[in-house]
Amino acid sequence: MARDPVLELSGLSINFGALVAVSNMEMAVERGRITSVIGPNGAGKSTLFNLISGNLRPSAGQVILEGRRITGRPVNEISRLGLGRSFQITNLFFDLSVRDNLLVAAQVLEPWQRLLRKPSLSTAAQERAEALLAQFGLEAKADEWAGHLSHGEQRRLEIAVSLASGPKLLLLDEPTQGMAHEDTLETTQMIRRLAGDITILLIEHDVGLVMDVSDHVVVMHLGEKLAEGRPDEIRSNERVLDAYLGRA
Amino acid sequence: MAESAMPGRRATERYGLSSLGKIALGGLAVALLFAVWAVAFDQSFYLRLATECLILGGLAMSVDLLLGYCGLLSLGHAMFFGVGAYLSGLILIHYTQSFWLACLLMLPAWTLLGLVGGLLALRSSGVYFALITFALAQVAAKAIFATNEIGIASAAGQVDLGGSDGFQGVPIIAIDFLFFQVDLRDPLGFFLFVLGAVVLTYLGLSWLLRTPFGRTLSAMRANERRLPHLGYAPRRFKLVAFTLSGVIASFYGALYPLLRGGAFPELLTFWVSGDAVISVIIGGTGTLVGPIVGTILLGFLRSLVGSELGEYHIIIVGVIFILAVIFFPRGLVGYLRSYLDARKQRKEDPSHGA
Repeated sequence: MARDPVLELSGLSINFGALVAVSNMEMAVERGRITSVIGPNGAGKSTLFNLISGNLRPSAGQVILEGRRITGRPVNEISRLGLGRSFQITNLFFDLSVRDNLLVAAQVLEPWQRLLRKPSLSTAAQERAEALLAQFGLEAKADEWAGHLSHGEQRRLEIAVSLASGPKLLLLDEPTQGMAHEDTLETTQMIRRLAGDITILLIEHDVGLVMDVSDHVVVMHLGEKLAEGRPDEIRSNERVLDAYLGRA
Repeated sequence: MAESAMPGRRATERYGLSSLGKIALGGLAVALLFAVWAVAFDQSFYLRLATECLILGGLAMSVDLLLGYCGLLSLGHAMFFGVGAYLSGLILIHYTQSFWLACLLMLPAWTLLGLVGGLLALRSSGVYFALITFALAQVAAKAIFATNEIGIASAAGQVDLGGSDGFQGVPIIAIDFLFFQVDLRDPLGFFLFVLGAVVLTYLGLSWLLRTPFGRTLSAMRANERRLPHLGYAPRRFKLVAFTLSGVIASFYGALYPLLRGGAFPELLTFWVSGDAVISVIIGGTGTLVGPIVGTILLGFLRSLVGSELGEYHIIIVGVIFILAVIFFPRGLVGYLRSYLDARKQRKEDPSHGA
């Protein structure tokens, strides 16, 4: 188990009417590592993310971020406590420029008085936004509308925006969804490089990608945790093979 | 989303005056030329009409701050305008004839009214927000309409709100500036004073909208649901914007009795709120200049057609509004801006011109 967990879930459950979407999830996310949640469609992965980020209130259980109970707190408070997330369906400010997308996210770290600062003054938020533009290869597009970017670029911006608000733990919901093959490889490497400074919890569909990039894998099936372990352990886990990966 | 993002227009202004800035400057030049014409040909009727349009234009600008930059449609800004008018009329009659002192006294009341209105209306969003603002203004209008005498303790004793007639008799004052005085008896002085206020409001708001605060407002309009995940509470930003908008609307309301010598319950009715919204849309939502242009068009139309057709001019305003919404949803200034932006881009980058 994790020795220095950033995030711990205990007995986390939610049901929508009779449907139990997530049931009694127990897991911990180790600091500086990449932990992935995999599972077939409808396994409850996105619901799990929504429970962690505060979009949904659990029917039972606790979410603990950096030792602090965040269960049931408003989304914006949870975000300020160091949780960032990206979305499976690109969720950007489409009629703002790429740079402004990043600035909106980055400026949240500044004290509220700075909200009325002279627009021309250089700030930590601006430096952070420029650094992310470079890191995600979006410098040339900085002044374009986010809505005018290609799908791959939007997916990259989606991650960059989630990072800009300076999270300690970043939840990435299918970051490479719909990307072309080369883009996927590049993004995977990017995610790999992010880990260390921050902790990453990843939902992925693409099992190959998960196995390459993750330190720790949690398998979900029908709202429950089926197994967890190192990627190689998961690959050879009998129950996982039966339920999900299939036998070769 | 993509519709409001204008194709071919760079999202970030690189340098120099923005297209909107140019339009604003052009508008200012036209206003000054108009003033010269009006003085030269002794047209004080038109000067006073233009002054009224600018006052109502200030109200429309406050509506645009919400509609164009926060995506909030207020159908009740007449409440701020009307209460602003009543307050300033009463204070000028009963308490002080110093404009600045009156403003200083009214500012807390304007702020409080904006804050309370915002707290009530922002509990909901979309259509329901619009309906609550509408209802608030109707309640305020009926309350003022119904009272023949409200006892307000003041230095002068009982204060008469005049019920359904409103009240007259606001003294014509002179406004002190550091080195000169503007006598509001003089139509040109009054016009220039209100023009100055409108210019300052425009500059102040365009500055505010370029700060990180303004950027957050744009982000909120673009995709409100993403903001909490970045640590923002969108409702707080809306409340600040709503309060500011209320204060601006109240300020322009406060100028009204100076021009017309009194305040009337009609100032709080839906006609005033609705006209402001129509002016914003005809002139160009989210442009700040557009609302002024729209109000002037509407005001002159009303005055010209209204004298011929009486109440029926409302039908013409309605038809123009419907046509504008269907065929020119960006409004006059919106289209002018697109045109200037496209031209600017062709100049900067002829290879991509089209």
